Amino acid sequence: MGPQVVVEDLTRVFGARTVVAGVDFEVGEGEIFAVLGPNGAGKSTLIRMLTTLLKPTSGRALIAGIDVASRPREVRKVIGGVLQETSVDQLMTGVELMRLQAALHGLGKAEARRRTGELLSRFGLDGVAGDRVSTYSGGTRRRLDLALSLLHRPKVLFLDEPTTGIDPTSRLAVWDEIRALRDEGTTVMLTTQYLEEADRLCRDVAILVQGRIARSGAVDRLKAEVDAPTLVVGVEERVRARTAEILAGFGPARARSDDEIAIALPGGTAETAAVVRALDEAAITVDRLQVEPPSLDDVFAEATGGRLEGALTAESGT
Amino acid sequence: MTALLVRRSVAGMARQPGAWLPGLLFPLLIAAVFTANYGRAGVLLGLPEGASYLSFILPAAVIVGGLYAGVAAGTAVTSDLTGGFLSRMALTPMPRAMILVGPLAAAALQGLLQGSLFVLVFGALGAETNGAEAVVCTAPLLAVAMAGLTIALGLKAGTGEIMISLFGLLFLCLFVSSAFFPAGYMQGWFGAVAQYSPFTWLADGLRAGDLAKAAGTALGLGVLTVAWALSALYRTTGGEP
Repeated sequence: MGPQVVVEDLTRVFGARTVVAGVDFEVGEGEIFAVLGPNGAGKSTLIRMLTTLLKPTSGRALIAGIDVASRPREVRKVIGGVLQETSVDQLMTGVELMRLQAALHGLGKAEARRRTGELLSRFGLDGVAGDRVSTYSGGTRRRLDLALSLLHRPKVLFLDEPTTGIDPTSRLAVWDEIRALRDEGTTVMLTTQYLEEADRLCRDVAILVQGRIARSGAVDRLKAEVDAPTLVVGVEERVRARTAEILAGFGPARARSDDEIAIALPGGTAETAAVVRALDEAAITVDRLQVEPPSLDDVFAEATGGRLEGALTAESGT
Repeated sequence: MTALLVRRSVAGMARQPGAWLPGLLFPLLIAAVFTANYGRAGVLLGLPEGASYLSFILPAAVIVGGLYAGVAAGTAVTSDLTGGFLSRMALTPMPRAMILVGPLAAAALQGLLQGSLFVLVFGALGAETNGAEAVVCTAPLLAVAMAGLTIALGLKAGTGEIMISLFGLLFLCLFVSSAFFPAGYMQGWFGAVAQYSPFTWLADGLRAGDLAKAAGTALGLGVLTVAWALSALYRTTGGEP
């Protein structure tokens, strides 16, 4: 299967500021590919260039073999897009929006009616399709947004932070839909600030930092490259500094929440016993001790020197 | 496709009375207030002997209505911009210029309805409406011209908040024209500016029932402002028609 998204040295400059700097990657047909990055990394600018909403300053991007700069209208026939802001007109009803969207994509009336029925049913929107969008919940609007993007059966679907700001239940439903689309052969490229989202959905990811790709490739390979597992220790605040001092002798610190201390264990899990002995000798009582296999968060930390800002999980994010 | 885009904008306007009601009521209120203030001072203001101030101010009502219709269109487009729907439309294969068809058509319809209503109401109150055809033909063109201006500036600013300031500025410009008082009554630089204000050409054309002058001015303004709006739209959506 040939690549459906080919990006070569893609660059976008705004005045004196380079927002996307020489980005390269490919996404194969029927794959889900995620671009991870903190706010301001250039993720949305990248998506806007690939969806023809912004002209690249230099470089090249092909979508389904079509050049975004020279044949943008042809590109728009084969792509769908869900942008960061839910892009639905709140004064219209769901059905009105579906009809309009179908017409803008040149679908015939019969096909439009059939696809509208299919998608409303698939996304659980039958019951609210006749209501104005202003009465929908955030999750329902997001599902309608996704349904609108699929009316014309796009080959490549771009999702810019598709689950940001929606409840965990709706997020899981969107994930299921993204997987189902992949299974049907649609290529999906998404940006996300949820590491768990990328971990669960994607085979390949790229980590974008200040407009440049810091790491890219298969998630499993990237995790394997991190190599060392993470030892996470929870102790009382009064002994936290001393604990960190002792742990520093076993491996480099890894970023975690403020009430935890984490280090990489280059010697593997076998080193855990030595750590416990050292803490015991220092009369430090450990509240919590856990060894975690390398995660995408660790990959991100290795690549960038810090945790992903807003690296929320499906459970904590809202 | 065109019909659906127009229908969306018209339905969107109809579903928000706040978008169209002021354009119907405020010009009538202005006419009522100005006529109450200056109705007996026609000769002092330089109006011909026996001329009614109510008849004189009809073009001002049409122009103020045009400003309202324009601001409603500009607000609708900037709302699409900030709400993301403009990007959704720009992600379809239709020519990007089609994005403005709906808001401009809605503005034209609003202008037509306002112009027709003003002719009927002013006529019922005793104003001379010899130039009714000029009013009814010019009002939608003027609304489109004002819509082009507000859309262009709204897209450039990236926010609908500019509309309030824009309306205030345009409304102020009406005072530097013959909309409310004869331009010949004004003196110095004020009078010179008023002579060349497009609002003066519009108002004078409407008063004289001169369809070519009034509609031609509105059409000329419309060509310029809609071209500017299209240019702003292309820049906003990736630089491509």
